[in-house]
Amino acid sequence: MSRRRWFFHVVIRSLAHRKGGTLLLVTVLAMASSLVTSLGIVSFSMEKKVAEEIRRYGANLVIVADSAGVEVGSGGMNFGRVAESAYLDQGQVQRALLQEPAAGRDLSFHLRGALKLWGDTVAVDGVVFPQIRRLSPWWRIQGTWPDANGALIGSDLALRRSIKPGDALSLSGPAGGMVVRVTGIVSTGGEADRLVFLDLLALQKALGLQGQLTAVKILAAATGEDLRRLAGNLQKLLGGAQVKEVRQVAATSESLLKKVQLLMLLVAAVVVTACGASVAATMSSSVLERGREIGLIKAMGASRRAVLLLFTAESVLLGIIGGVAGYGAGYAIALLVTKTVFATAAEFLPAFFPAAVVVSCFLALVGSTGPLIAVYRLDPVRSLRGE
Amino acid sequence: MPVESGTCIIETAGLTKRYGDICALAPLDLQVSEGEWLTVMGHSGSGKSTLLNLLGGLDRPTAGRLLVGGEDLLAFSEDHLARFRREAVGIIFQQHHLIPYLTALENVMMAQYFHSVPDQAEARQALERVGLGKRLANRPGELSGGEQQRVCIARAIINSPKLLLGDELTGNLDHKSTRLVMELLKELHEEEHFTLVLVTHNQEVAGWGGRTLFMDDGKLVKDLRHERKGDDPS
Amino acid sequence: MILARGVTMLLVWAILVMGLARAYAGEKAALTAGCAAGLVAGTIFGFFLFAAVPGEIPFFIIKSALAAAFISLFIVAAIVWYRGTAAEGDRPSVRHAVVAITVFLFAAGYGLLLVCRLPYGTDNSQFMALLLILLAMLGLWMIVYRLEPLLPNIGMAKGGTSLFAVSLLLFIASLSPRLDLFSPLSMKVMKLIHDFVHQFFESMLIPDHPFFRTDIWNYIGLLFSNGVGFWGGLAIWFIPTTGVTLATFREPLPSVAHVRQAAVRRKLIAAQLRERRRRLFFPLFAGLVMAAAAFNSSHPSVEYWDPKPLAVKADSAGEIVLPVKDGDVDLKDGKLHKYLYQKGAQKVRFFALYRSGELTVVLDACSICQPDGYGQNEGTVICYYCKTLIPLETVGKPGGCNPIPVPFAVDGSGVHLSAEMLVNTWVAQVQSEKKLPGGGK
Ligand SMILES: Nc1ncnc2c1ncn2[C@@H]1O[C@H](COP(=O)(O)OP(=O)(O)OP(=O)(O)O)[C@@H](O)[C@H]1O
Ligand SMILES: [Mg+2]
Repeated sequence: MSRRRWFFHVVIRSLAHRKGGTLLLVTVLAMASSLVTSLGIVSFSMEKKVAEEIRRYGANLVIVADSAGVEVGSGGMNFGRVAESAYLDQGQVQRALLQEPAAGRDLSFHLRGALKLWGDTVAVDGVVFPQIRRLSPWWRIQGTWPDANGALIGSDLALRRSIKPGDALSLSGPAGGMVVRVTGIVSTGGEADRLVFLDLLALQKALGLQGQLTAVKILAAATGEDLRRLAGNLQKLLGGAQVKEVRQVAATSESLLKKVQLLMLLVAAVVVTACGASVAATMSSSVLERGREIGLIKAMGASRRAVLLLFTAESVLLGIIGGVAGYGAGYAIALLVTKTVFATAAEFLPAFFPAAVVVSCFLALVGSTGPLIAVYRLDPVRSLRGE
Repeated sequence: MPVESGTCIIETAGLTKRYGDICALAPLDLQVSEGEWLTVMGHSGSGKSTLLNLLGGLDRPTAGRLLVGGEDLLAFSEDHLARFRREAVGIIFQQHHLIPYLTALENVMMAQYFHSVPDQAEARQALERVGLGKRLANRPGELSGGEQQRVCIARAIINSPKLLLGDELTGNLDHKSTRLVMELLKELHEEEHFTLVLVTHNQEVAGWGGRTLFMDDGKLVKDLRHERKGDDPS
Repeated sequence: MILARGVTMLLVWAILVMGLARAYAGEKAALTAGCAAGLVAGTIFGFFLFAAVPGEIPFFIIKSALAAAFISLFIVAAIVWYRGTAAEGDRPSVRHAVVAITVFLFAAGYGLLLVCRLPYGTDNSQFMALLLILLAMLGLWMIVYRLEPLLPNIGMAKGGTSLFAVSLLLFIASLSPRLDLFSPLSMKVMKLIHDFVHQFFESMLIPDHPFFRTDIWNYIGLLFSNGVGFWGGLAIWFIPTTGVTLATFREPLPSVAHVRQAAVRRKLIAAQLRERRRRLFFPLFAGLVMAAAAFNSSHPSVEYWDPKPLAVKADSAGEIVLPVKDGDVDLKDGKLHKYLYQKGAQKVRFFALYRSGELTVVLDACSICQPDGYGQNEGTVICYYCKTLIPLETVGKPGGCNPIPVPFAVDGSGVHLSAEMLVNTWVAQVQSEKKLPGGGK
């Protein structure tokens, strides 16, 4: 048996021998690291989403139907959505925009809905292609922009369904079906990657929602105070709709996120401190208990370094087990939190795995620093006499 | 009586150990030749264990000179002393200290590990030699006192030490077990040629050795050479 | 900057010499001579190369040589791997000439790279080279004859010398994007995988079967991600080091069966194990150096075009005029031109850029990030704060992290801006103090 294998064998034997203490320590460490992990995952995935959405949002105003309760946040981040759909009246919106020339001409109409594609439901967005092209210059299109009879398909969806430019899609809705030819695949890195873009009129017909919209995005030249005034004016003209500045939308999500983060941070700090203390206590009592054993191996000729290594390895192993368990638990907590609080899935962030393990190991080592120093110093003669 | 012809393995001059005011070991001059079997006797508290710990490099004297195998233990650093313990000395204690979570075999291998590399076959052989070939996989809690003491002996001799120290190693054993252990020690002593220093209260145990020291209050009061018991079994 | 480069180069040299001194401890004379000659020869050859061949060709040549060295590491690793597992034969004693030639090659490689790292073309590059060589020689002598006995006694693994030396050379190369090997390697890997997967799909080896559920497609999608090239490249990058390390690790120990006493035998084995573990140092160190090289290459100190802002003043009418052509400044050269306008304590940074056939003027800040400004690099500008790349065509459009556009007029005399409007826009839209939404990282 090699030295290394023997070393681990002894460490594992010793941990297995003290089942209760080991289990307690692992639980405590796992608790601490799971909290840190979940906090990290939640804030990271949320922050990333918020930041991404804002950055990719070309528009600075959005108009949505009032009764929809607004999809607070944008795209994949919904902090609350009312189930029944509500629509804007296209005619009303167009009239309002004519009265408010400051809104400019950089805008796009959207009608979001669901159609059946080969038996499955896909999310579709009815748009006016020239409009959206002007509004989203950063969209990367593989293929060409379609005309009114064509469609764009998001890259995620295209890959999943293996749809290529040139394919014909036959879509059916509650009020009719259509066959469109895909001319391009769009990748934005955002929500659009999972959508099919159709011509607005065609979609309105298929859904039986003639003259209805779900949202209007506007890129107004105005900024700051002017933009606020413009939003106010539009709001006055559009009863039953909500006019929002994009930055304001983002601020809502941000502040909610901040609150949740703060709360979790506080809880995590308390728990980590408590865990550290209890690790230290458990470790000390374990070393005290094992004084005789340590004296013995020192008397057998183990150098102080070797003994220290043995005990450090025990701590680190506990830390690793705690960290692995903590990452699993933490990820589950993160999923739960994002689901219940943010109504979206947490991102899978494997980068937090090492973080969880490091936190747990760190805690285990910090907690056992005192005991380890005691182990290093322990006088074999005294401990063998039975002190 | 075998003639001690070997060189001096232990040589002390004015060896002293004090604990504050208490003089656990008065200045002691002692020479032990290689291969000798030495017994130390005395009242409780007379400084026997203290002497043994000093010889084994477990403790440092307050004053005096201490040469073991020609090397001055006082000059050793802590780590050097640890190396001395694992390479040159084997120690057997009264309360047969074994590591509770390791089996008999693994306890022996632990000594090998600190010395160099664990070697299972060799450790098994050593245990077979002390008559524990069938109890390899038992933890100390599952062994009798005599068996545990034999595991300790196997562990102490596994690294072929020059010096084997035993502190009341039969203190907890009955007459029969004591005899068994002593016979084993005699056998090993003859084969391995180590120097043996035993501390005991037991007159019978002392009879197995060739030389007995009597101590009182930290001082050496008598140094007696005598016949060895095992030579004419009674 | 130059100083830092010089110090880095000397440091690498010192490490190189220390390693070689450990590898050939018994061959001091050959080692010193080989190193010195190699350094001088490499440097001279480098100067000659840059003088004789124009443009990028010298870099290409040096890069190819490096690539050859890297590939030869695979051969070394393979040999070591094969030999390491074979029974222990007597290692042929290294002869002086072999040592000298080996170290000559390494030192020459170093000299070549040294020349590349010098600011070639300036007058004092020869002088700098001379100075560096002198310092390197001094270091060489110091290390080989004075420091060497003090170094810890670490044996050199088989194949470890070349691994160690080449990894150091690759590290130096990674400091300059023109010589870097790792990026092209990962690029190649990415291309290969992309092409392969595409071919696979084209030939319809994967049918659109209901068995392939969506999550499987997600995994296939992974093959298309940018990470593939990086990780694939990384795997190849570390093969030689890993190979030599593992070979050293598996190296059979000399037999100790002849030793009768068990404890002594174990002692011997332990000593041999310790020895072998120490031999792992150089391969592992080489791995570390390779990792540093890969890191350098993926975090290049890319020089973004980011000129120092030119201070401008408004005339009495509150108008700022930027002449389109002024001396050697040409606004229409397609590069961004930064300006700084200051009114009281309020500073406004903005830049002018000629793109898609027209001029545009924007603030050097966007409305969602801290105003760290923008730098330009091939077809994009980058926001230093959030690292978003913005295509040049969209500079001048509002929204997102695009630089905030400002109204301006162009006529024959140049670009006209209103100073007041500049200040107002900056104050109203740039978020300097507030902690902002979207400033995630
Ligand atoms: N750490 C210590 N501090 C103070 N006094 C000590 C210490 N260790 C030992 N002593 C004292 O030194 C003296 C010698 O102790 P030692 O253990 O050598 O006796 P002993 O001969 O082995 O006795 P026993 O036969 O009971 O084991 C005793 O008086 C004891 O009280
Ligand atoms: Mg005692």
